[in-house]
Amino acid sequence: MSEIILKAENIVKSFFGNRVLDHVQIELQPGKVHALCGENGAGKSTLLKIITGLYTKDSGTIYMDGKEITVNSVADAKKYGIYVVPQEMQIFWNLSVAENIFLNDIPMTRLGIMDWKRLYKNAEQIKAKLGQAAAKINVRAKAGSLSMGAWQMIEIMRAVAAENVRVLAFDEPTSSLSESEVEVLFDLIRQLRDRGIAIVYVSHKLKEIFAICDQVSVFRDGRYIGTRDIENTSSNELVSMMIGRNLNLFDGVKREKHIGEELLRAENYSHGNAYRNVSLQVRSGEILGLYGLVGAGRTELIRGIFGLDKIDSGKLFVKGKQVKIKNPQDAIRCGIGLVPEDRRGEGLMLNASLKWNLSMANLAAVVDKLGNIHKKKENAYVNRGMEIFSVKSTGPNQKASALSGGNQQKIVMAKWVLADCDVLIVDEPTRGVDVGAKAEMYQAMSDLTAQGKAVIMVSSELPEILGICDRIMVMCEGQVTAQLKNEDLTEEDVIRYAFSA
Amino acid sequence: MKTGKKLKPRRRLTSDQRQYIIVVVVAVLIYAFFSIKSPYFLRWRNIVAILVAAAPLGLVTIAECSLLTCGEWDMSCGNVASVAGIVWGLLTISGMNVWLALAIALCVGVVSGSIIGLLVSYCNMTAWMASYGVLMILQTFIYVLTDGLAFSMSKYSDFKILGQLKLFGTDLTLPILIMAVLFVAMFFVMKFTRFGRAMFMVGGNREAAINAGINVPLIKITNFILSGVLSALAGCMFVSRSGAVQPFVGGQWAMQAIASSIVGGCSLGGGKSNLGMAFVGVLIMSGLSNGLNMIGVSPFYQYMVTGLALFIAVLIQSERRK
Repeated sequence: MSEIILKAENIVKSFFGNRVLDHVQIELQPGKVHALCGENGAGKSTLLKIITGLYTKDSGTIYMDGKEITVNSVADAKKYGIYVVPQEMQIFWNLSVAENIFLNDIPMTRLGIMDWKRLYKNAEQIKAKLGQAAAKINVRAKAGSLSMGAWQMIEIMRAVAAENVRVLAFDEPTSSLSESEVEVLFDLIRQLRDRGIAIVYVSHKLKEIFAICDQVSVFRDGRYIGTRDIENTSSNELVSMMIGRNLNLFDGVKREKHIGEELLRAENYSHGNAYRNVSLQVRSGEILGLYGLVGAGRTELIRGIFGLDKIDSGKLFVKGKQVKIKNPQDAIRCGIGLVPEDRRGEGLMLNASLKWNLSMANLAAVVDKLGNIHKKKENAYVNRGMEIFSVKSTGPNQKASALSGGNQQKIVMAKWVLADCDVLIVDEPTRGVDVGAKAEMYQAMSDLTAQGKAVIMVSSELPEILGICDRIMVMCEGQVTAQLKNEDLTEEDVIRYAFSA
Repeated sequence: MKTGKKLKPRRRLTSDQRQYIIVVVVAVLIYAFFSIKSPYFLRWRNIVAILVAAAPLGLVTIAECSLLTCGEWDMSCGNVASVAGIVWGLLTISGMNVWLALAIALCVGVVSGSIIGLLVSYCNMTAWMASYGVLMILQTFIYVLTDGLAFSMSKYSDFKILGQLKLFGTDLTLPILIMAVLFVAMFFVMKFTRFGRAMFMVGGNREAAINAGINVPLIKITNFILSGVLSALAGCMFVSRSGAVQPFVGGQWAMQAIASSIVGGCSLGGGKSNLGMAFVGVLIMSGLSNGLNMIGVSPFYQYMVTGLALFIAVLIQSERRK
């Protein structure tokens, strides 16, 4: 076929002994948009970061025009004409668009004084190169006053300004854009493609991949699965390439099911663009799985239910009675607990002892009549908490920051088990914890349901959703796309809904 | 469909511009109020007096405004100024050439600024802690060098040039000229040089600045040294004008300068500053103190009035901060 600009082979990358890329490969052709596709954690973003110099590879080779090259930094990559529009955009909000484009290459007069006239003129030239799509941007405006779409445009303009750009990579470019901005972006990508630039497009949104890409490479669990031309594939084929694992971990977590009365019902929850008209209910003895891709609005929804974020509309019923939840205190009073996604940032007081961490969600249980902390009561309470899980620690007085991720998660979970809440919401409970701790989490959740409580588990890991949930609710782009009973479901059944808006 | 509504530039005044206009209006109102209350307030001689009194604070404000641009600040300015004034006075009394002594006094600022800059850049210390530590250490120097007592410099006529030299046969004195030149120079640096651009980048988005190849420690240390030198110069200017070395001249200069900068639109978070407006902030401070004296408000109450005036100046700007 046609020539190849950039080729990467046998790329291997590990983080802390955890292999995230296992001998993967990619070939880029000029004038083609190449999608990297896969589930969360499949390795697509990592590969992109290696090509563009943000990460360094452990082993493997990268070729440019057939010659081997070394890319150890972003500067190296730029030297070879490889640019990236990162997810975290590098924008100086306090500078004008023109200054943001040129950064360190601002034109100077012979006296070493900044030449503002030439700066704006050059910026206008870059803008003209992008044509219609960029026409609305005022190069004199402060970047801080513009939208995310405009920021992305600035990143693209930086690459175009460099003139040597041959490969331009986009990392999840639409995650923060409005629909009309996506249109503008696609126009731009097509235009850059027609100029012979090789475009890399990382995304897990199949719709976009079919709209804009020419080729697609699929990754799964850090491995390269295959590459297809977009005309010769279907979303069904891509989905089945993206999944396929075994479920052994859950064989141990068998439980008797006694599904009882309804404990929590949320009706028509809406909040801006994050989620719209979402309803859910969960019964005593039940584990409800909330599946979706990153950005589907799951975390936002449960934050709304728990009173952490304001909601636009929605009613909440606890045990059939309507309640108003304005803040987490209200939620806790109603018997709702939340194990947040970011346990270090939101779930723990890292500098405090395990003791304090365990008792903080239910101080009422450890105080005397005057409201002072009762040492004996607290010790007894905490000791109960330490026994729920086998926490590896030197004792209740150890600092939370000294524990491993899995053990920290056990503490956060134990805090709520102790607080005796009726409905426990857990957000990505097993992210970054080891297999043993995972199994304990699953066991703890099923123990809770055996006591007649309910669990809502947000997770991006299909195996665990299918492994322990009774019912599965799938969200996509802020809406519920499916309510499924977990009987004879396959991963494909569920993932299909996660991709369809 | 090629919409791009959000990308459209705003035709109206930007919120920054509105804020700057408000600051100027506040300053004009304050000056108008005092000129109604006292016919002498807007006389030429009094305006010169306001400017002369403003000069030391003006220099420290240049320093703080630059540091705030990089997202840092310096609490030690007042004591650096005091120690520099003391060192200059003592060396002059010991028989050293006045100008050589002045150069050595300014080195106090170089040393203190370097220490703060190094601690902030390489020891990961906050500017608050590093500069407060330096402030405390200098406090000891002040006591040890002076026993806490003022001493007169009236015998040394050269000593008074820096603070009192009259220019072009007018009432304008050297401090006013120095302040004006430094404000213009720093304004130029921030607006038209690579260094100034780097300051805004460091304060606006530190990570992105590093990625863009900016030497962040160099920018910060340079600004801390600049802050030290300007403070030292401000202190020397003050003792020269008063003809006597007082141990605690610097007092609250650092706080006043930060306040002036914020009234002038600087952000404590860094990346946003406007030296011109900071100068208006200095004029507000200096005009208030002069005017309150003139209409006979007791010094005890002047602090309270100044505090309230600061609240008002910042509050009416802050509608934009939602």
